[in-house]
Amino acid sequence: MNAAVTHPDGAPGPAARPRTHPYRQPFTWWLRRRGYVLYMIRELSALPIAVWWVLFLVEVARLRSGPSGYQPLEGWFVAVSVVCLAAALWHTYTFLSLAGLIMRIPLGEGNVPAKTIVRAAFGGFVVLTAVIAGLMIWGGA
Amino acid sequence: MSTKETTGEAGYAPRPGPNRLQGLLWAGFANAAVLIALVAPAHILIQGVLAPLGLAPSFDRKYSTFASALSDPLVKIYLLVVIAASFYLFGHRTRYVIHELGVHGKLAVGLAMYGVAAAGTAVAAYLLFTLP
Amino acid sequence: MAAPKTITLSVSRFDPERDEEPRLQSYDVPFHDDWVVLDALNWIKTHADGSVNYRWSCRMGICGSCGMNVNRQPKLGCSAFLRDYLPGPIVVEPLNNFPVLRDLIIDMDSFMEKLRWVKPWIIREETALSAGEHRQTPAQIEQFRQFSMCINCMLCYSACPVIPIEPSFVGPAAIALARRYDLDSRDRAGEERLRTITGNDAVWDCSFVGECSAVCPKDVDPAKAIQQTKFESTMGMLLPWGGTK
Repeated sequence: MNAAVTHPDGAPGPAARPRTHPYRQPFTWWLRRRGYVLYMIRELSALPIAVWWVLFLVEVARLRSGPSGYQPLEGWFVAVSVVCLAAALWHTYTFLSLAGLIMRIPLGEGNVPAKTIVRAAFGGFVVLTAVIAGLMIWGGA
Repeated sequence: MSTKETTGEAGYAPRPGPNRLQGLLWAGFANAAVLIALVAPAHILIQGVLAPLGLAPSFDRKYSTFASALSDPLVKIYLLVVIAASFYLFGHRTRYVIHELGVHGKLAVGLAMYGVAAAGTAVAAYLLFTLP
Repeated sequence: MAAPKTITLSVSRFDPERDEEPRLQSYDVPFHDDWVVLDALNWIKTHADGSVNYRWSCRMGICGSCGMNVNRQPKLGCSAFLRDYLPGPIVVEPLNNFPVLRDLIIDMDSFMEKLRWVKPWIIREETALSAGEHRQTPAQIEQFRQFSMCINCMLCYSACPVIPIEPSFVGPAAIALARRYDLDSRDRAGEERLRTITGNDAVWDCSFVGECSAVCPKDVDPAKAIQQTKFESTMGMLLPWGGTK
């Protein structure tokens, strides 16, 4: 370390900056805490959902084979869909649970309670699931 | 990573906002995430699990019902929006995960992931809107 | 099982004038049921090795000085009880995501600059003293009280995985502090302060891992502050009437 430099008015000047040891984040940082692992799972749940819709588009493309040629996806499709459903439900659960935290809705002097927002979100999910399932089933009958 | 190394002699001074691009990208993500959270499980449950197992009918099991449903422009638009949201959700989240696993080059990673999402959406639009 | 007489602490040592890399040095410390890691470090410095360096002050979880990694997890040294880490050894290292100056002491200059950057003071026109004090109802204080509890301990910066990737990310405590003032009814900053946390290196770098809030010893919930800022600033950008404030 350099000796302190004195200024004309007598006050000591700044010494050279000490050497520091930098921090390097390991590639496996996300394994270090349960919260990190859950974060990764939450984020990567977007992949199976996207994959499932790609499979749906495969079915849409098969429409071009005409009435006699069309084959809906079957067999392995169920197993893949179960995995995708788990991912979709995990996304739903984590995202709707956080809706109350993300949205601050002023109400009077305070805010709408987070629990209320979350309950409304899950209520909406139940209603929409019933509606969409109903439409698909009615459309298939 | 001391102050002087990351910020230079001027001190900490990132560009002030509002960064409308990032804001828009996040708002798109938040809305896409809500939409997918609300509707994706229903589709995957009925179309992907119950119907192929024969436990419930579904509009995509037969040519007649599937083609009939997809001839409705509202159905096409709804499906395109949901699919676009799914691909965008994937692109946005994967962009951050890849970056956090140490891949630098924010711009390149962003362009790649949003590009993948856009490409997928374009394919979906083509398939849905050019049916015989 | 009888309590042990001693417990081993493996403390990270780094002397910039002598060492290339930090190394762990072990000390056998007396075990007491009510001792915390800070007590053990103070015993080491008094009785075993006076050259150990670490920051501390109040020893009761309010000054924010003694942030450190205990068994790889960010903790206040004064709040980490030895009995919770039996049988040991306990690995004591400096906080992640900051350069190490010496032993357990990290360079926190970047943190201080980020706090200053968000203009953490009431911004409003001056009013004459004769106009009286600014009054707030309990409900108005409740709006920002949680975000005012920060003790600047930097555990949240240590837990955030974005900081080492983007060292200029303004970070959880700074954004929570900005939000504390944005929600304060006495503040009239409007867009001026919001600009500091919605630009580059600001809220958009956050991907809501949420561990900042998990490690916070004061339940400040900086993750909430960040997500609410994202939501409200985009509402302000997209809605013609500007947003919810």
